[in-house]
Amino acid sequence: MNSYDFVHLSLHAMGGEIRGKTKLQKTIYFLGVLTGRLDELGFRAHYYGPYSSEVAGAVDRLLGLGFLDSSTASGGAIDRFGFEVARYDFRLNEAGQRTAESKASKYSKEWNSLQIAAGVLKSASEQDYIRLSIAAKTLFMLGGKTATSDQLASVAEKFGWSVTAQQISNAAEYLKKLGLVEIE
Amino acid sequence: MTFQVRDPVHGFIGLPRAVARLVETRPLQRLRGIRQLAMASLVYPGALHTRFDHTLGVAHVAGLMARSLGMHDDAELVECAALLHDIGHGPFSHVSEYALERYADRTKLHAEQKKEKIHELVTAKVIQTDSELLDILGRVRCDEVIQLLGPGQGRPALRSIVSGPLDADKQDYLLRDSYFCGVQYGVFDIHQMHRSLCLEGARDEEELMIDPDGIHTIEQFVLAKYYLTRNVYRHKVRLISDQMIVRAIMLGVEVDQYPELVELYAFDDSEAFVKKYLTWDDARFMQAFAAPHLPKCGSLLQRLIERRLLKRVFTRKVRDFREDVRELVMALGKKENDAVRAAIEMEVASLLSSQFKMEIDPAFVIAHSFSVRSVRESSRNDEAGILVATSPPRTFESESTLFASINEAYIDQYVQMYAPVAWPTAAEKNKHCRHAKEGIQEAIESACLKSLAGVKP
Repeated sequence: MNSYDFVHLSLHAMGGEIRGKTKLQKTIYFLGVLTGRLDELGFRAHYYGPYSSEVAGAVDRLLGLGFLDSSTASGGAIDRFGFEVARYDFRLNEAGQRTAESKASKYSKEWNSLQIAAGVLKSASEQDYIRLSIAAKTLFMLGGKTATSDQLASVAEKFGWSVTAQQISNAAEYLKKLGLVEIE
Repeated sequence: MTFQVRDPVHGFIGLPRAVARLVETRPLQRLRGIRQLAMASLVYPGALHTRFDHTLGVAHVAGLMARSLGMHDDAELVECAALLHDIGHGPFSHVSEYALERYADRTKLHAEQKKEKIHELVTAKVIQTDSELLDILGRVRCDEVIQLLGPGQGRPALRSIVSGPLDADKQDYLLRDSYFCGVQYGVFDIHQMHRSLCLEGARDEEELMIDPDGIHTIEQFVLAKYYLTRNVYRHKVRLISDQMIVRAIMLGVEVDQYPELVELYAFDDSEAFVKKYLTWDDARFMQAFAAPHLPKCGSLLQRLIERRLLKRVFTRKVRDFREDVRELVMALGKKENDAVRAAIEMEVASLLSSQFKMEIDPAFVIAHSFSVRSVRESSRNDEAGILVATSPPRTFESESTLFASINEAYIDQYVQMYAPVAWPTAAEKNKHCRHAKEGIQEAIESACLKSLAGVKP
């Protein structure tokens, strides 16, 4: 399964809809981590957490093939972190869902593991893209399965943009819920 | 002491002597024989510029960027990487990339090499093994250059200059290709852009960003790339001529089985391969392969020389095909889909033969699918991730209202068919294309459906 199919099936596993480009990137990132396929997705360090132009390209391809619809929801304001002014929402249309179904049968093993990962992600129920970004960047920077509170504090210092100790602690809790990091 | 040379795009190009010694080496001089835009001169007669001119321009721009960002200690490294970034290009540039991907001997590659693009492996191998380059740069500097040009390593800010959405390569090729094509689409304010670039973050982990004052320059840059893509890089004649060379190579390797052509693209990571590869350029390629003893490959290349181009008989957005075949239609260029592509070409040749009442060789009928922004380019062209150095930094995408609409215009994907037919007038052309349209779409869908059902096309 290539990164394009992974993105397609990830959208399907997440219920066919993801709101916001940042959230989409971070969701795919966590699904990549949870399914052990992260290395195939082309994520690299970015100021606001891991970002993959391969994933962005897969989204463009789904749009171009007529499998994905996008709409813009404008909140009108810029939040204090400077994330999206206009939010791009993505939804698999019927053709996209049918094609995803046939891919799910073709890659049944990978699909099962994606469904489990999506279940874990949904049950951790983090909807906010800023918190997701902080969690993704924290995980990216920690680079291991365990972390001490000193390590978490040093992550906050190197973060690039201003985050509070509380936000890092929330991120660590979230990562713990996903089973990705143990706090010592 | 600097080496200076006049350049029509940038005025005087200056390079430190130590870097400029690279220019005199054979691998760099070979680039004088490889045109920047392959056969684009068939439609833009001025487009005869070469990878050599471009390489000098990229080194110049990269040096300017590094110094304007205060990275004086690393400027020479960036200039060396810029000078060597295209050194692995084969005849007709990107056409050779496709051929290398198709014909590389992957059984001879290490596991970690198998995921990498072959032309990048060729570039690294040239830098690792060429005695002139090694004499000038030394092993350590050569390794640093390879690391900077390769995937995922090295100081991020330096990597952004060499390869990224605002890299020196794009800055030079937009201005240069515009100049030599005689179009004004690629023009942007490079000086203002350089004034607007800044670095944010801890040393060695800095991110290249743009000052808010530079947003309009970046918009101009993004627009320039879009217009050039639409009008030059995806020009009908450019697409057809590139595909004719690709097909000629395929016929030469697979049908005519000409040993010299087979060897040219069978990359096996050996020094011997690289030595031979570095003797090829556009002129030698045409001289060797546009020859009567290669019945298929030679006659297709001869058509190119005489500008008897194949004609575009069909063009359609891939999303207008039935949903279950779209992905396969988009992947017709992949080797694993050779059988279905050949079946389509056979069927279309037969349709056109009866329509034009002439015999049409299916080997010269080409099915070609592509996106406006090719997959190959997208990884290095994603402006969405550019950050504007506000406090806190914001994405360029959210700062520029213009960007979103340009970006959306890139996502279209097409399939086209080219064939050796002719028409006397535009009216005749329209009549023929209208007549063939439905039959060709049916032929494509039917061959794809058979393939998906596991029926041998």
